Amino acid sequence: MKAVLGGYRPGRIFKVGFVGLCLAACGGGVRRHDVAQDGPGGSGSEQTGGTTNVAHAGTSAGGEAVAPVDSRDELKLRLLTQAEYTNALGDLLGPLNTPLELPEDISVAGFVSVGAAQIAVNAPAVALYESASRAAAAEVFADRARWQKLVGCQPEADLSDGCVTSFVQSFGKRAYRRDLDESEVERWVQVGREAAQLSNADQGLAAVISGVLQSMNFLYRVESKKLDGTSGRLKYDGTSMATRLAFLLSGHPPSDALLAAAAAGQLDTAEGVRTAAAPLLNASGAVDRMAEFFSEVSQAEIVSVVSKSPDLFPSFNASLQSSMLQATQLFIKNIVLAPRADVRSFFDSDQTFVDATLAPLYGVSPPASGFMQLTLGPETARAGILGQAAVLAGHSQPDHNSPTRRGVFILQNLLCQTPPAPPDGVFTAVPIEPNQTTRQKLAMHLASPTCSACHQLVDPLGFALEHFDSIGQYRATENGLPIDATGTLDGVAFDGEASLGSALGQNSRALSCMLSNYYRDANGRVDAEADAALIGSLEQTLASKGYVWRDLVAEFVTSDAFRSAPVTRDEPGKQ
Amino acid sequence: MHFNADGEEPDVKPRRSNGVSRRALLRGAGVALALPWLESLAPRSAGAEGAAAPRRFLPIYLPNGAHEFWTPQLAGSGNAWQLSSILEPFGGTLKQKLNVLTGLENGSVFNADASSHVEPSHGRLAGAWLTCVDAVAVRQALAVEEANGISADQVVAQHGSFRGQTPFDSLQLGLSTPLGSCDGEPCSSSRSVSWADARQPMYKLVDPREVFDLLVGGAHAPDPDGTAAVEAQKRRARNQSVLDAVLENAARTRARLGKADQQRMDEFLGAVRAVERRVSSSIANAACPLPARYAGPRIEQSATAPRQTIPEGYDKGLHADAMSDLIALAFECDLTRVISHMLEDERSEFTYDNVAERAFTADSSSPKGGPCPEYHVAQHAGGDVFATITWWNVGKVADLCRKLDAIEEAPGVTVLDNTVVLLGGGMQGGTHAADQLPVVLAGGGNLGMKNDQHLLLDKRPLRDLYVTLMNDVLGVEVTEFGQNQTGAPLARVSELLR
Repeated sequence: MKAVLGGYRPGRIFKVGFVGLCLAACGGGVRRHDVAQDGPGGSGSEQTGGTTNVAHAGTSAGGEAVAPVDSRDELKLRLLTQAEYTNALGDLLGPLNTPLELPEDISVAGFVSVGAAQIAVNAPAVALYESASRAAAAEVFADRARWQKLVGCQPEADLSDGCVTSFVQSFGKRAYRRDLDESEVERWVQVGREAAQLSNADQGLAAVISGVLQSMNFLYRVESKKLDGTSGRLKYDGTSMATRLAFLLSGHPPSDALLAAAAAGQLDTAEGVRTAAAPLLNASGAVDRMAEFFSEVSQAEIVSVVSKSPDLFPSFNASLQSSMLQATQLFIKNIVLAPRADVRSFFDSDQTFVDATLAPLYGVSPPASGFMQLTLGPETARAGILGQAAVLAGHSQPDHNSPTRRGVFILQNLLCQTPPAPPDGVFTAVPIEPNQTTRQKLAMHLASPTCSACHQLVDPLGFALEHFDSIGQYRATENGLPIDATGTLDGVAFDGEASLGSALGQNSRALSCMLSNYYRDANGRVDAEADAALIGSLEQTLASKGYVWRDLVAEFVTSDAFRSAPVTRDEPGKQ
Repeated sequence: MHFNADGEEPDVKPRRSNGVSRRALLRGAGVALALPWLESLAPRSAGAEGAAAPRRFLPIYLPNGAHEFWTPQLAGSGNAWQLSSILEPFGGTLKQKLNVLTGLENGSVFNADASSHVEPSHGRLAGAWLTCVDAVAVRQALAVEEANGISADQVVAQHGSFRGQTPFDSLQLGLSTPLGSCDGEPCSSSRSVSWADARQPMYKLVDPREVFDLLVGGAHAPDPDGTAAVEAQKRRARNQSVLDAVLENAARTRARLGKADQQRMDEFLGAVRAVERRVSSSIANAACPLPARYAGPRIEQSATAPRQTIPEGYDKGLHADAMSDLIALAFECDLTRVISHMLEDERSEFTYDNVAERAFTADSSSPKGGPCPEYHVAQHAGGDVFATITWWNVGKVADLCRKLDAIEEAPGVTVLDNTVVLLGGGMQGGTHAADQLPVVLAGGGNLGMKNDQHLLLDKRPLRDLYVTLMNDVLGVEVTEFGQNQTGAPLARVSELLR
């Protein structure tokens, strides 16, 4: 589970890196000054961090060659996500009852793991890490038997003996996910002794634990890679691979055994990685971690933070939001990731789940208790992830549908295509016309040359979902008028959501996008052009595995797409 | 649940993320400590300032606009103008430190046809008050549920001449209870005037006890023999030693990183240093007079809850006075130089039954009747009840200004003279219009501001005021801020400057 999240804001910030500026940017009328995201003095690091990389994420990198200039050992830091941090603490200290308040994850280019490689930690975040580490240490040291077991030896009161040294070495290694060097050991021993002098041995050891947990070597994933002459890519060393494998497949840091395998050189080859990955893939948490990926792709969690007009949608409340999200999570885990399932069911499955709260919205009678699996008949016009109420409601305005917004979501998240930038300063309100359908209203987007370049890409995809209102409920008509949900995707005609789902299931761009997305989630960065061939071969792998996702993952971790990174241009100004 | 000063004593409370650590930082305050063996761990950042006067910024938000009797009848300076009936609480010597600005408008939220009467207005106008951008447009542009722009106080707090100079770069405080609707906007628009950037509302603290703990760290606890203070001092020393090691560790690893990651690590290092500075600063050494601890009922705040009941025994006046004391403390002890304060949330529905209705004319008021009704109803009813509530809120700000003016920090110079207090609202009054906004400035006399004026401005953008205060008063150089869709070019309000 994620760390306890705040009541004020969602724990996950959906910083959709693709700045979908063109959506709704065309309403005609008054020209606005450009929308200031930041005033003067505003820190731009998060914003620009998200968008610069994402510029590569579109259909092409704009013809700009990626110049390999610097092949030196390059590191790329990823901050632990909330889930990774919480799991790591549990692994290091045992189960903790203390709720920990942690800095929020930020999603960039669709994934918190990409955000984790770009966000900078600010003072409030440091303070949260500080409080969390001290609270965790305090819980451990409140129980004498517990901390003595953790420390493994009985130190002198002033920590003057070797007990603290061996503890720093063993605890530090598990926290840093590598061996500590001598000076690192010495420094933490010194911290322990200073604190022990002020108080006692417990406080000294607690200070060591809390300090190590505040250290950047714990909080960040410091990875190391070197140029591999054969592939021309930067290959991760064994220790880095241990951490990468463990977090990707289990969400947890590497076990002692995995670190030992790395130290023995066993993670230097594809076969060694395959062997090491097998137990992780067979563990119960593996499917959960994979489900998180699909959950992020579908942005299902947004449904828990949107609000709807209480007048139009009185049934939309926290309980319904929660049921919607759970139903989508069940769909992902039990349908898309079922043991031998075809992953394309993500787009076109006729299965879903409802509980008593959600059943009326789907027009079915409620189950006696909990969630029940349901086969969606053709009359429901619903299928796959886009038919999930969580997704439909999450990508709608409070009081009306936004085919543009839904279309941008499909284009970006399911087809990995970024709409072009909008024209400067266009006023965005769409006129209210009670005697038209939304599609008729938005026709002006497609009529205006300024707007159509962008909107012709997104609006038609969104129109496919027009049979579902702002909370994902079926509607036969809009304003008493018939709904036109027809369109084409890469030459394949569709009429309605289920039909678009089928088209996506057979669409090569959609499948390629799914693999690009997985590459992003696994590596914490947006794929570069140099990765295109690798991602292409993953598509073949997926097909050869009968489209079973977990089999793809097993191959993915042994591939160069995960064991290495492309040589990219170094930072600007450092040619 | 969250933790007190040192994370070691769990304290059951609903947790919240308000942008600052609520760790009580300065445990042991008010106790003279003689622990020579701790000296090697004593604060190192204290007294780093030069002799220059601190510059401070205190924007205070007036919800629901102001009654029309806010505006003084005559314009001019000195004896040429007199306080209006609603601004009467600023009478006496305070008037000489005042500027009333009439004619400012927030064009960032005007309608597409440039008209100023905006609907729905409350959340939208409040959100734009200190940011001068239209949150609706920013949300559309970013395709997110919640956004705004960086607020003026945060531009100041993040500027090099402010950031890192004090234990807290800024504080966000308020008196909200809260009752009221968010008027169709994300509640952040009506409940947080401070935004760290386009995506980060900095929710305020509303319970004075929480603010007290943040500032003075539990020094209120009975400690007859001083042992608690000694323990607290030890804890602080331990925490500081840990942070030192964290800094060294990061600095060592930094050297191995690529340039982009080095920059990220610099931000991490800066952040750790900022936290360390809070740990090491101590108002115990600054001989700050601690105010009495707030004794009213606990006040819960929520960003999203539509309405909450007012706790039994709640007294708005007591709440306001306690918060004012803490603002004065924070400035006097230089714990921060930037505070945003909200007298209530926008579209507040708090019932001011603690205030007796008065009869108002443009120039004066006199006792009239019984308790005042609910604020938003009063706003739209207009008349004496609305005037009375506005007047009462003005009175609380005037009281705060007097407190600041009673603290002399250099010969003949008070804290108020080194502070720009900005009292203003997001809307004119009952009309929901975003022009003719209520704006009063107090203080700033030692920072280059003229005083004792009522300025009549002709449809000047509100952002002009912020840009003037930043550049010419607070020493924060900016070339632009916010938006203004009326087309008026950015210009300084030079009438304010000496």
